[in-house]
Amino acid sequence: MESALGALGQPRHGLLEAEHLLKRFGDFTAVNDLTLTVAEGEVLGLLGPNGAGKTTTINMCIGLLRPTAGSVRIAGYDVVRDAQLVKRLIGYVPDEPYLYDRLTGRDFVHLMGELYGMPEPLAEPVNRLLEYFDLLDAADSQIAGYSHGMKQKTALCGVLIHDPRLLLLDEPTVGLDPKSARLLKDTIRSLADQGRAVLLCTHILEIAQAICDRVAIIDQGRLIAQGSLDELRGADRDSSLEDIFLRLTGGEEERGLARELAAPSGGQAHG
Amino acid sequence: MGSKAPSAPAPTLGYTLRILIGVRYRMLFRPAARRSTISGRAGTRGWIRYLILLAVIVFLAVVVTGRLVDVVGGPVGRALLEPLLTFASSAASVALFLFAIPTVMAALTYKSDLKLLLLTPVSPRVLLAEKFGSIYCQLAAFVLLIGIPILLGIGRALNLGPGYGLVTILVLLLLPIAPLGLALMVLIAVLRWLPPRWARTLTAVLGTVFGLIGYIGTQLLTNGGGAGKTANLRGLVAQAPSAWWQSLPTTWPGQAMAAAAHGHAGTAITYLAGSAALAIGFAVMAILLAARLFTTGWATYQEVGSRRKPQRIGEPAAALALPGPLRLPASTVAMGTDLRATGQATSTLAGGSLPLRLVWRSLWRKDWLGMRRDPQLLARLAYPLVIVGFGFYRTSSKGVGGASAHGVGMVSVFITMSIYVLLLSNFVAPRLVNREGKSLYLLALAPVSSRDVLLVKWALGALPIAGLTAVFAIVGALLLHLAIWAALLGLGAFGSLAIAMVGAMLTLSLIWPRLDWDNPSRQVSTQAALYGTVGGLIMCMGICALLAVAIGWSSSHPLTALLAGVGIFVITFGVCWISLMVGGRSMKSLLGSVG
Repeated sequence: MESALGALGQPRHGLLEAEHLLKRFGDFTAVNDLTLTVAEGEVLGLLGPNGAGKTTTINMCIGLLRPTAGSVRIAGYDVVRDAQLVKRLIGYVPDEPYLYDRLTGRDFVHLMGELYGMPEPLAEPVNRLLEYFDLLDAADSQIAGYSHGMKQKTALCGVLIHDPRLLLLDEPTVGLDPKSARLLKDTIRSLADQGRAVLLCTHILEIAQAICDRVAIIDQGRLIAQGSLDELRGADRDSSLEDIFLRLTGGEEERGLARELAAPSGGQAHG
Repeated sequence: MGSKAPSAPAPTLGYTLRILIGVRYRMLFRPAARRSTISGRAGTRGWIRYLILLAVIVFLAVVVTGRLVDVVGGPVGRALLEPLLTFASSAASVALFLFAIPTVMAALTYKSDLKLLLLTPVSPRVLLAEKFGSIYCQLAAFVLLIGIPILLGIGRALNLGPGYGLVTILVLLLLPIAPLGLALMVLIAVLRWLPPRWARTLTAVLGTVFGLIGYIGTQLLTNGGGAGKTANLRGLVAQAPSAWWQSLPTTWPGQAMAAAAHGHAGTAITYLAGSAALAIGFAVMAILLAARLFTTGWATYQEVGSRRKPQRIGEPAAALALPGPLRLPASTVAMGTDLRATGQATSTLAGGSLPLRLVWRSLWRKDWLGMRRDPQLLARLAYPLVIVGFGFYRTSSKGVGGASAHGVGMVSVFITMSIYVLLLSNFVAPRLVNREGKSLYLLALAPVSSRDVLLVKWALGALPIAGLTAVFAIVGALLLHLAIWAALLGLGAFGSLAIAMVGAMLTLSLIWPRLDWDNPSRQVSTQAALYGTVGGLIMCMGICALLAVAIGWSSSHPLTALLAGVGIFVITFGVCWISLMVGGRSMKSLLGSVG
């Protein structure tokens, strides 16, 4: 593993630079000596099995959780020391978008614009974002009546209204219909192409394979691999991200078991 | 494989009930046990909390029992025992029905385990019976806690014997069953036609209206002091036998207790059996109906979203253009990886936090819109306003101006004002931050300092309350015909009390936050509510006493009066200062640990 990691080329300038992050909850170590970098114009996919420490890592990167040790810098600013400066540069969408239920979608996006000091009038950019995410028809309904996917898209509007330099998205496609998921993938790619950095936390390997420039795989709080898909493939040029992921996280055994269970009773597992 | 029937046998009734009751037990007791294992102090605090609650209940029970013993004591009063008990059982049935509605509503519509369990191969009747039982246990505990001290207190005061005690306990156990069954049946019908959100709003508004009617009715009936109150109650109770509701089955539990009190065992057993049959009938009917209608989907409202324009079918997402560059604030216009290294920090990101003016405007707008669109919250806010309005009405109807202004009238107005400030602050302040719930991360991530959030939230709670307090203080001063200086002192005292009280209660809610609520009626943690109420009560009494001294003794003991007046502002300023210090730290810690 060391050799694989050692071979990976790090981007020259990291907009997000997390170094030797450690987070302990009592005796339990959730994140252990994790070093990550996301450069401008880059989408980094953060992958890992359930409970690997992905959300804890993101929470430390955005300043919602103080690391036990290590540091996170965004655009050169320390997330803990320069918290107020950093907050203006980042946008975060959690896996479960808890928004203000009594506000309408339009109210919410407007509020986020105000809270991030966007110049008035905000009506036009708010409308443009709502239209882009196909939310204009529901814009004046209270968020309480929105579906999960609509809430997810509204949260994204609330983040994009202040045009953050770094986007941190935790399972952003969960609950989205195929059309919205496609729109989101295209949006993430487009934002990266415009120079924003994106840290994308996902379980859906197909999405990571499609839009991430590099992926970082963590397991039990440790970074076990990082690099572009080609770098991770190494000599095995035909392997998919799923193969790599399962090989690194020990999921091969589970896959074999699943094949056996799926096989007809008394029969043999198929290759 | 698909054609094979499931081989596992269906779980038996006993097995299912054992599992469900075991889960309830673990959910109820395990967190407390774990807390007390981790920290002995937490367990001790829990016990202290329960002891304080018990002391309050016992105190109230003693007061109520004393009043009722006055009514039914002696040969005249003893004849009124039957109408009093039948009235009490009918009133309790109505109150329990109203109380059961939000509880059942929460069990059926909030994130409860019912939907999950209904999908298991367990009989829906068993599931609903278990749910019915768990709600019944909550109601029965409440009824026993209130009813036993009062009713057994009356029995002991009138030497009514052990038969009365036994029947009373059985009646108290039976009392919640029929109202709970009725509430379940009514709600099934309501939830068929109304979305859960509307149904919750409707029940909250109706609950407030009934609560206020109950409050005003009680106040009017107990009008007058000492003997006057007893006479009023006796008059009311004496009219009970001819009242229309005497023919309702809700009086049967009361009849059973009255018969037991008079030593008529046969009649008592008959009424008790009738009450039990009625209660069981309601429970069985409600459970069967709920099981049938819930599992068939009849009692589930299908929420339909707003009518939407046809979707653009076939338009590939990639063809949509991301909105062009937005007009960015100065802080984010500058690009370049290391802003600190390029020296842009001081020029474009100066200050970091948003100016307080902008924070105030955006948060005020958000909270105002949220409050305006929340009928449940508005309904709850009506309580203190009606209470103070009614208090002033009673004060003015007694004519307390002029000579009596320095006596009972003044104290009465001050107490009314204090209760109003306490009730309103106690309701508003702990919810100012807790209302954010799981959305608090949005504020935690915004470029807003924790101090500004605290100040804005404090102002959002304190300013409207202080404004209303000022209006009521002027009305109070006019009622009492106070001198200008005294009126201004009262205005300042209650205004500063409101500001300090909101600050203190907001701080308590930050020390003991509750953000993981699903049911909005559970937005305040027990600790914050308890310490806030007790502390607020002490503060109100202190300010009332100081104000009464400052105004009442201004002529006879001017120095003491002056010191009392100064003391009011020293206390309120001190509470504000402590709130600012402790609240600031707590807010910073809370916003820094949302993740």
